[in-house]
Amino acid sequence: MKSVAELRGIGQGYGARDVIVDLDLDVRPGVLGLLGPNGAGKTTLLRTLATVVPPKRGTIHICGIPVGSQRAARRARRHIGYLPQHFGFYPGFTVYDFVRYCAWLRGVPDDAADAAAREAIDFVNLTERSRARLKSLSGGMIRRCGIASAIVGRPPLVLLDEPTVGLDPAQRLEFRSVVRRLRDEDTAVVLSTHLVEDVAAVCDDVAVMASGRMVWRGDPESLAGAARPGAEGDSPLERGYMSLLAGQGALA
Amino acid sequence: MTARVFWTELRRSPLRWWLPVLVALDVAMLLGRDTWWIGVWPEASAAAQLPAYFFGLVLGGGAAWVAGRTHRAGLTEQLSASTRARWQVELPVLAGTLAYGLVAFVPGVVIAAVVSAREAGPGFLWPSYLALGVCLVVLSAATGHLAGKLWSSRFVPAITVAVCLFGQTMLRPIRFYVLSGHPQAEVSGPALAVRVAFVLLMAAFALALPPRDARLGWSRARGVPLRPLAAVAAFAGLVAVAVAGPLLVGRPAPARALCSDETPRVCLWPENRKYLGPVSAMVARLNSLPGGALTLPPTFYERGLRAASAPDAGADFQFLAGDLSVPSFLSSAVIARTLPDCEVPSDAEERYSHEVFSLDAYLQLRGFGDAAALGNDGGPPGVDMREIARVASLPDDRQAEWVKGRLAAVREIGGDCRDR
Repeated sequence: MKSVAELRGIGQGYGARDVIVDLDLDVRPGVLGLLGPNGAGKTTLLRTLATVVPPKRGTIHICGIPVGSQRAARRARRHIGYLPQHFGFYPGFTVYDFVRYCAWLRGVPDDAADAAAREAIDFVNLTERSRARLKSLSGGMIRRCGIASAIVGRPPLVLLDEPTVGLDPAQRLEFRSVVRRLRDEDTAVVLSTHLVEDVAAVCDDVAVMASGRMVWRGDPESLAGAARPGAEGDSPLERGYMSLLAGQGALA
Repeated sequence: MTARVFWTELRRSPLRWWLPVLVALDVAMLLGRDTWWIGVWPEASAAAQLPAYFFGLVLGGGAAWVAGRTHRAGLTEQLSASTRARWQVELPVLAGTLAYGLVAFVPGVVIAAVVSAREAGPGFLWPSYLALGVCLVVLSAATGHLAGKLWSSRFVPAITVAVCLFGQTMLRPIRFYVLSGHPQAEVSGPALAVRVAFVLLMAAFALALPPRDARLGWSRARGVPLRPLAAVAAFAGLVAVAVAGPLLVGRPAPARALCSDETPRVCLWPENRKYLGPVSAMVARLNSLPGGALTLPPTFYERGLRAASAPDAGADFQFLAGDLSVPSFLSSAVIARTLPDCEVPSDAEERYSHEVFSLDAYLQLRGFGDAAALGNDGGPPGVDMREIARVASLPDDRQAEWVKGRLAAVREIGGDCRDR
């Protein structure tokens, strides 16, 4: 399957501090879970993939577009849906207004933007609340609206940074069903999380990051199989993940 | 910017709640200050322009609030991931603010036109004054938007805007407004052009300068001190405004003044047509004093209709905030022709002045025709205005006697008097 995004030799950081070190990554259709402890570099990697920050080193290709300049980054962003960890919204906007506005930000052509906004809202099951102001919605609904704003226009690459933080169990189940449907439609989803349950539920592929490096990649079953005897964790996947981190010395 | 995004901004901008306040301020500042401008097109135009300065202070604060909305809503990251350039994202926001400012400006303009149309006669509001008003609206919106982008605090931008916009009252050369628009003056083309260029520069900065929390990302502008450069450019723009000359410059006298048919004639600027009747009536009241005690000039001119070097041009009348100022000028013109030319001994100057001041006060009162409207306070130094009002209420022949008495006293006090 062809890569939607290719990162080669990526180095990233802020000032003198390196946050990502020599990272290679191919993102293909399906759901890639990015697991790692706080400070592992997951958010920085997603921001780099979203072309928000240029890498200090290395190359990025998004849907075949080499991203090396502002102009190329803007062109590439048409193919990227991005839900940041701290998702912002105008509380006075209705769901429809906001998703429609995000379609404009994404560069969805004007004649297609209305239909794209309606489709995205429908996809996250918010059609009945499309005229509601965002300030009147629950946290889960706002998060779904955020996903709608990320997928409006159906970009082939969707980046979701800690999307389940703060959601109750029911809302988390709703969210997972949305991600599964994206997977079923051959969208490439990168899901950054530190919740192993999310990975187990929706991911086809898992990348574990520690200290700015990708220390492991494989499917969830393999991750569960990496568990060492006596490893901490409440599930096989969690034990596998904790074993990997312990092996990397990332649990200090 | 698509029409749809602009429409969304209009519908969702917090300024939609501020609009009634802006309109109320506009109308209140138009009609609440004074109404003497009604019926004179350039005065009405200047009056319609001035409220933009007052509600512009509020609009600027609102613009700062609206521009800071992106930061407060936490949308910075999403905007950084947008396919749109930052200025494209800012454009609908600033355009929405401008639209609300211009919508608030319109009622004052319409009211000024409607209430003036009946009295003012041919003509209309002068576009140059309205352009100045629009400049004020754009300046307020752009300054506010810029401040809202540069300071993430809720209050600092509004305070900054207030200081910037209010600051122009202290520095006349950089003012973007005029207090009145008498017909002898007009807005200077170069001064207006420089101000338009300055507000466009500010609007460009408001759109293009990266906000304080912006991530320049891939931009080639990384490392370029954009904000200091913009500050230097804005300062240079202000210097250009200051050196562009005064905002109001003199107009050449009209080819044909508007004159009354009576004798003595009254001639004024055509734009002041509404005053022709009242001023002619003032002159007629002065002229109707029996006994030939007063000498009136054959024509009373409004200032600016004839060269300043013309004989008696110094006494030509002016409308200063309406026609209340005119009796004073008419009185001066009459006194200049009526009083003998005397060599007043220094020890008699006070008594001499008292007689002249009394006569002046009487002529003003008679010319104005309504002693009660002028009140009993004020008047020339040492003159009892109650006594003057009493004289002005006497029958005309008794008033003429009183005038002759004052003139006789002047001749007696002044030594070596010669008729003019």
